[in-house]
Amino acid sequence: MKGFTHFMSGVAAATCVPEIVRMSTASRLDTVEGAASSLIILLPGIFGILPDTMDFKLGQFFSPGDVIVDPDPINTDPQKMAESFAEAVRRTGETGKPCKIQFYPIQLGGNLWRQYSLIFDEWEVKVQINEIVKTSQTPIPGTALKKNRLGVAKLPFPLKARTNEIDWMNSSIRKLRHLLKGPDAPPGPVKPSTLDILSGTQFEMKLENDGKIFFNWLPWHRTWSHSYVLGILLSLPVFLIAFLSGLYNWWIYGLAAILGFTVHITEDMTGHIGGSLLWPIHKTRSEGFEMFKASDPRTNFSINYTAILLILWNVDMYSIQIIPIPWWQYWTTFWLVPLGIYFWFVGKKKQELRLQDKMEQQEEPDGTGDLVVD
Amino acid sequence: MSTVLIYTLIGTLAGTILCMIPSLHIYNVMGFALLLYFNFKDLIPFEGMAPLFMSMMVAFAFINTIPMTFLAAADESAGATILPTLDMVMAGRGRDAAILTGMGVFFGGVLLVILSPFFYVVFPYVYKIIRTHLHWVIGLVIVFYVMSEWPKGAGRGDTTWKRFRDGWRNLGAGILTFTLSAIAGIILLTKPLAPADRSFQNIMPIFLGFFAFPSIIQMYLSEFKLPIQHKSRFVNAGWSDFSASLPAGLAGGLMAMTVPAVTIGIAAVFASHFTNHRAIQTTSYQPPKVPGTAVHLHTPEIYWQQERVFVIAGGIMKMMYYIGAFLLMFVLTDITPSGMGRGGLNVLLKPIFTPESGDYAIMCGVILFSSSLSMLALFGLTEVMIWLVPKLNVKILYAFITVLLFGILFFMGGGWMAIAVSLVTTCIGSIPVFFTCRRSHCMAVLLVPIMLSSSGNMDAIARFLGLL
Repeated sequence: MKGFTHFMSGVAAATCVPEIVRMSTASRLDTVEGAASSLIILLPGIFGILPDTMDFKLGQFFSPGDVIVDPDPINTDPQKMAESFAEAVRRTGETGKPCKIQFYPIQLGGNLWRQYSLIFDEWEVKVQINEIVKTSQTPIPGTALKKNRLGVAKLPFPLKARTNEIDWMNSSIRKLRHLLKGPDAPPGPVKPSTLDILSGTQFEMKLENDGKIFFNWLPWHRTWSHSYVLGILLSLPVFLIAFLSGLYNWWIYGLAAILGFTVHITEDMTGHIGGSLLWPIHKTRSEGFEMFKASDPRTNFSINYTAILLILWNVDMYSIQIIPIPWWQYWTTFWLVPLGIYFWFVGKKKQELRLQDKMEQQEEPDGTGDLVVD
Repeated sequence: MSTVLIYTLIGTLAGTILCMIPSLHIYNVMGFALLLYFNFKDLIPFEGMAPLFMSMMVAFAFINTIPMTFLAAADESAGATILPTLDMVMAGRGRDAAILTGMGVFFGGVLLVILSPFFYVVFPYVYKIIRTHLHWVIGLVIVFYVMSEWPKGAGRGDTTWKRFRDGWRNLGAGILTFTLSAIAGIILLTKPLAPADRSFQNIMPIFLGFFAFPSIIQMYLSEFKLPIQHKSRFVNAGWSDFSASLPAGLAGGLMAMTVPAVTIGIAAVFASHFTNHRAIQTTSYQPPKVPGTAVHLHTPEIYWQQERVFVIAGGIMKMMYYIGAFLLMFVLTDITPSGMGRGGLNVLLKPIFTPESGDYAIMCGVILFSSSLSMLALFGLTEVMIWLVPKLNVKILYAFITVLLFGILFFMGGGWMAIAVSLVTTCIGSIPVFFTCRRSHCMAVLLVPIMLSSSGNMDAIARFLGLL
């Protein structure tokens, strides 16, 4: 799920606790106690977004690459970049020690970036230099290099994208996933990876028992930061500060924080990468249930919309109670019907886009097509 | 009826002229509007007051697009539109950018009228529920707004500290801007420059400093030159772009209409997180088309559509924020007998103006009439601007505007003190310009004091800062 979804879900979950809503209601603001508790709902919001904040604003800087690929914007050399990848594979295979390779973006101006793709095969890696893109990730037609666009390097050890070495946590999650979704699809070719704007990407190579190199995408993401145990540890100061400040219902402050953190980690388990759920007790990063892609707009939108409705319903129910309709009418009118229409519309749109996409593949769009508003 | 029409015309005309001044923030325009009122209040009949202010705001929503597009004069709302429009201008498509934004604003006006049943039947309940919880709603806006800014640096460096510093360039600048703006807001709320009945005088120097002067400095430092703009009888957009813009425009607009101190720049961030559907069709890898390549990376049309959607949705938000927030003042229902308006103009007008039932329909008419006039003005002024800007020495123009703004500040905003305040806020407002963080961090000047006051914590913080 996306950051905003975690944020909204955390807040929505907190409003299900009647005391949290009561503590934050404006009618109590004329007391010192009321003023102190009035912002309690910020805690699930902050803790709801905290795991990703720790990863992207902190964790990634603590994960240096052993091999660095920082391409020259003027004379970009794809062959050298591919060979760097092969070097990381060689080091891992020969030493048996994990090796991280860091790729940086190629920035050409405030709003211009040179895009490149990494194409993986079992025994080969290719680096292809693409067009210049804007920060919106739309390519500028005609900006591809005229020559030297492709670098190819043979790998001394075979690559694989899914690990075989799974522990009790991952095997339990896999079993549960198979129960929920049926068996996994047979492994296909590894999807290429494309880099363009803002931050780079990192892979960690690890030699496994079968002699193959497992390359792990963003090894710093969803590890220590995505742990239920860490959530509890981080909320301890909240419990403590509330207790030492002598606040009424001091334990609810910590509970609100834990709620936000827990909702985030649980929601992330629906994706492809899970989290290090019990770090530091058990450090392995688990797989996810692979129900949705984290970026799927349908899931994110529907959860956010539901969260808004739930917040309004809870806040009303536990404070001023002015909604004049029963719960079933509220949820049918404002949730079931609109989301039904939304999914129908988005499904139709997706079909249209697929069809359009097929046509466009014959004639590439460039953003200056024949759309006109007269 | 003729009074309403006459004052709608006057308001639209005054707004159009005023909004051609680059870099003005909506709060500055409100300040001018009230100055106008205080100086001519004996001449303006009671029934002409609301149409006058409403039509000035409508004109602002349309016409400030022009300096923002062609003179790169970004105000705070620029966050919702400026990135793609600047790109479009540099590609010679400035006409598209201006007209599309205008069409978005017009669409927003029509939407406001269409949404009338929603405003009367559903919205009063939302308003009532949120009203007793506004302090934490604003708090959540602050939390997400600050925490959702991602590092713009790629984190280069051979030590953790260097990587961290590289990644945190914009984040540190953002947090610094936010903190300084918040402190400025707390100081100015506890020690106001002007009495409450002239509170717009407090706002004027702050907002000129945060938004207008840094844009002017940026303009002086940059080598902005307007490229030749293409002429076309058509706008490069499809009607489907308008339907795709609706969710973001509506979500951002409703948010900015409802939550105090949430401006378009902030609402646009939330709306895009909430409604962005680009990932519904992602890039795909196809067999190579060009010799010497391994794959063909296909970027679907929805990626390009985002640029147009961004501009149109930004226009819708502008209308809903500037006008919708004021229009809600006229929605009189059993549970909201005093209306639901919010925003500076609403607060400032409340003591001197009381809406009556039936005014809502008149205001809808004013919006549509003034929108039509403003849209026509936008067409004409866009052409004038495209013809004029290459002939202008933009730096001399900005020198003139700087003198004008300082003059306004001195004579109408509170003398030397106002100039001093504007210089301080200019320093704060320049941080985002030079460190490429979000400009809306400056809105902490209102967000934080409002949150603290409405949560009952303002006195404690002011005491802590030694202000009480």
